Amino acid sequence: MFLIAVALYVGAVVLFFVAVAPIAGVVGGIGAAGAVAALYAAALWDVLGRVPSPVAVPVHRPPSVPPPAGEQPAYRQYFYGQAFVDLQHVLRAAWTRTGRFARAVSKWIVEALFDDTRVLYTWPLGLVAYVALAGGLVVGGAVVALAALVHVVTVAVSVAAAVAGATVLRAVDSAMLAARRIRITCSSCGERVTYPVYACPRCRTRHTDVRPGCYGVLRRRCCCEQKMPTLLLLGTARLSAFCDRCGHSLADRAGSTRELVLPLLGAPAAGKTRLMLAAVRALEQGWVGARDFAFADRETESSFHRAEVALLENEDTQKTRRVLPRAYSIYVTPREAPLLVHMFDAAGELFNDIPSIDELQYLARADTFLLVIDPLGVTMLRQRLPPGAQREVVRQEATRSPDHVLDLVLQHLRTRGARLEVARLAVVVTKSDLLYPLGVLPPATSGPAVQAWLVGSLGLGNFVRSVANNFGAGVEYFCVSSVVDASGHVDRTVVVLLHWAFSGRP
Amino acid sequence: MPEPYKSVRRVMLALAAITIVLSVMFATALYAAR
Repeated sequence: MFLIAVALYVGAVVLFFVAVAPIAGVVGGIGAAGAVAALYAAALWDVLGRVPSPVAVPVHRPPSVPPPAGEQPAYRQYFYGQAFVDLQHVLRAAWTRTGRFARAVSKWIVEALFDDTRVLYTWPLGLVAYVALAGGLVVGGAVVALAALVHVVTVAVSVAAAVAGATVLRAVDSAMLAARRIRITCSSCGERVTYPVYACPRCRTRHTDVRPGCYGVLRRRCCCEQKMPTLLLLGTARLSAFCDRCGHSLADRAGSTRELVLPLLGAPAAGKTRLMLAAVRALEQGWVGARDFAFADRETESSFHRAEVALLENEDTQKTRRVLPRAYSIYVTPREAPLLVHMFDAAGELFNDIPSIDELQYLARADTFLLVIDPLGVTMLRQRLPPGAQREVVRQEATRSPDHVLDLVLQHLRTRGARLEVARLAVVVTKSDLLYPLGVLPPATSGPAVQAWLVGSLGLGNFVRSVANNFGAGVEYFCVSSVVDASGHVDRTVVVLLHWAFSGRP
Repeated sequence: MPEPYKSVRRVMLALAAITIVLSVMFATALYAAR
């Protein structure tokens, strides 16, 4: 009887291993492998798909404001670090969960199928379950390894694409600026801006380098979560820009167009400020033929409207303060392309000595200059006036000779390595409205006749020879009257001068 | 809690899912053609 029972038991076990175990093992193995794959998919979803992620994934937070040197107040671009952190967490989460799953199943097998009370009947099932679990873990592990490899490759390719894209876009941006010959000059300090500092439109935090890189390829995200463009091509010109040297605000849309830096040189009371005001008014009213006039910043607009009153009422302009001048910055389209014009009007006292001129950084950035001469300040002309007229004009005369100003400016430009061979100069004789009643007016308002008048009537032969020798791109002579008539029209002579100033530009 | 990488993570998830599915299909096809 016992032998029959043993034989039946052995037969049943053999039958089980022959008929049932392979199917059960395969089904169990597929189940285990599927569970491993599902755990990997769940880890992927938890790290990449759910917000907030239930897996503690550290995120590189932007530094506090102000950021330490070399850091930006922006989130790092995903592929510059965070993608690898996420990948690591997916793999770690999948590994941990798979281990937990294996241990839990294993424990269940031991408790359910290798229990002392029924182990005699259940051990074949337990054995098959163990084998199925092991097989499932191996197969599932292989599938997950393949998926993880694919994920790693995807991340690596994306990182390479992000780095290459940032490098290429940065180069394209620089190349386009160079090709369009766009340079950015600070309206406040007159320095060339390497690249503007941009303020976040929401929190106003300043970003010193928004170009494509580790903080974003096409856009970056400020520490306040606001997205910002990274390139002029993508709209950084719409942001508030600041000088990277002095920190003052730049002209609106700086970097979107070519610039013309137009310094006015001359002795105190030569008529520089009045000429500049007349020039801006002529442009604003559209009399130069230039389109699309706009003030490039609020400072220029408010400052011009304050100072313009003196021009319109034909009164003396306020004495320019002896501080570094802020440019009058305006947009105009003299021909096809728009132009950002920076007119720098420094106090004449700053042209008295080299240390003062050296403060005027914008001089070395310019290639078109307006040298303003007050003829009534030239001794030779003044001596020709009747005594009464001499007393009348002494109130308005400039106190320094044009030679003195020219020599100092040339000295400054040479020490700064300015390319005088491509520089142009307009010699602008002002106050022709005062010369007319005195009967000492030049025979023409521009050209060689004015040049000859400077030599013959003002004794500025050396001056004329000096400018001809030093300014390689040409010297032109003008005689202007910076006044407006009763209907507010700026004198035509100013318009002629502006035509010349824009003639060397697109 | 700010979530600056939400969009790009979703894209990466989709990309990973698509590439994994394609890889499995490719591996299966290769195995079947063997």
